[in-house]
Amino acid sequence: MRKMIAIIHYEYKMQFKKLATWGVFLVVTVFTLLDNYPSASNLARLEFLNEPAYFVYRTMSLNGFVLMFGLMFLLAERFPLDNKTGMKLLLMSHALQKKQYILGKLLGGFLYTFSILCIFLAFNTAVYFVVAPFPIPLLECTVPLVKAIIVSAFPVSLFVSLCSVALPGMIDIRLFYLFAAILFGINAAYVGSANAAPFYMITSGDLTRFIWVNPKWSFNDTESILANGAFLMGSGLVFGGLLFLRHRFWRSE
Amino acid sequence: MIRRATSEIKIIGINFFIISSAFTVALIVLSAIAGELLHFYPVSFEVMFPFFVTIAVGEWGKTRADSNFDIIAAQSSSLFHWVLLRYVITFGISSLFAVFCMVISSAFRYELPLWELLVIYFPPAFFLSSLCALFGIYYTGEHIATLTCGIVWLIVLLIRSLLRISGVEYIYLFIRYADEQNPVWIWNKIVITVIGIFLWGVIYLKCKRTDAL
Repeated sequence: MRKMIAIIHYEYKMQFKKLATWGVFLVVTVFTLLDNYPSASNLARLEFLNEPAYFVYRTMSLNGFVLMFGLMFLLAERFPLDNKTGMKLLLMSHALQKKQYILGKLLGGFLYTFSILCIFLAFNTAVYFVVAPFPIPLLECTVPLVKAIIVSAFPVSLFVSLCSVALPGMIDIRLFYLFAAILFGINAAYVGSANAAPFYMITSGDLTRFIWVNPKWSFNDTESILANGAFLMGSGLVFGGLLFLRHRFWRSE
Repeated sequence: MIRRATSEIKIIGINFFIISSAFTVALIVLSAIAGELLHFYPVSFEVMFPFFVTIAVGEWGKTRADSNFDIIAAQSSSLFHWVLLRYVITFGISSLFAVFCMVISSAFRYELPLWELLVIYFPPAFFLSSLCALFGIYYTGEHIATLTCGIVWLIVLLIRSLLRISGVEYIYLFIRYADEQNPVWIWNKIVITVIGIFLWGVIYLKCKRTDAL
């Protein structure tokens, strides 16, 4: 257990300190504020921008999506980099078990993704709260933020981090980028509607309807919410689990 | 020159050809089974294939992230020639896959002539891959060039509503995907190609500066 925690700690700390992480964070935050800053023109353009819940929903579904895409690239090199630098051979020569190594990498990646996403949501909501040209009760910002973290940020982080860390450990990293680009491209092309969203939506699936629902649309499709949650968490766990089944991944024990 | 090109192809490796073939076959199958609702050509050749070419240039045609970069920079008479050759090979081969895909998928669904498909494909592919080559010559970190271009690609996909602002249609990267009937699309493609050439001017200057050191 201690060895696994050491790997988680290393992964988390190392990724957190990476300049590229904060570069991606900065670019996406600028994009978010350009798009959602409660200025007069944005308030005129976006009908519901005066509602904090809508701001959190939009930040999570649209801008959080770009952030996840960026983090996906950074997470994808975790296993290939260990192979390239010989770190994996070094680790295998120690009394470290396969499950400790894999779980350490996966959980470290997850905690890092989840933390960055939470910081991103909290920071942008705080900016909105401070600069909005109308009074907002603190609770009106906090409640949707907490909802977004629980119902959306958690499953999305699980999906992105586990897939991004685990899959390049099994397939060529370029092939993984291609698969990810196709999935993210399909997500980007989707335009929201009153109907149930496809289950494979990453940040704009029906789970986000817990944060905010367009008052003009009545929505009570529990099945599509469950399908979205099952897709995000299930595929994350399945892809993460596949590594444990790969015998060639580690020395024979 | 042919010897150098052959050696570059060897460095790129077999995975590039396997993944490119798999992607091309997947798109051909999609062209056969996709219904009328999918705007297949803009989605495939203006959005997806250009990003695939960008991944190819950033990952297989890496320059500064190449572990031998310092040796190459110190020993080659012109760094720019090496960067350009590596780019031309990765861009050229992946574009050949794109053209092959266009020809075969046209057999399944003839919606646009081949020349128009080439005009739809080439400018965004050239621009994104040139941007990737530019980041590739500036940053030593692996995957950083692909990551940066990936974020640009995704943000451009997401901001298509900006086309409501006059003038944006001339520089929007995926004009046929966002607005198939837009009359200025040819001008848009010319502008994007010119910006791509400008990026190569920046790469040239950067290489010259490195050569002078």
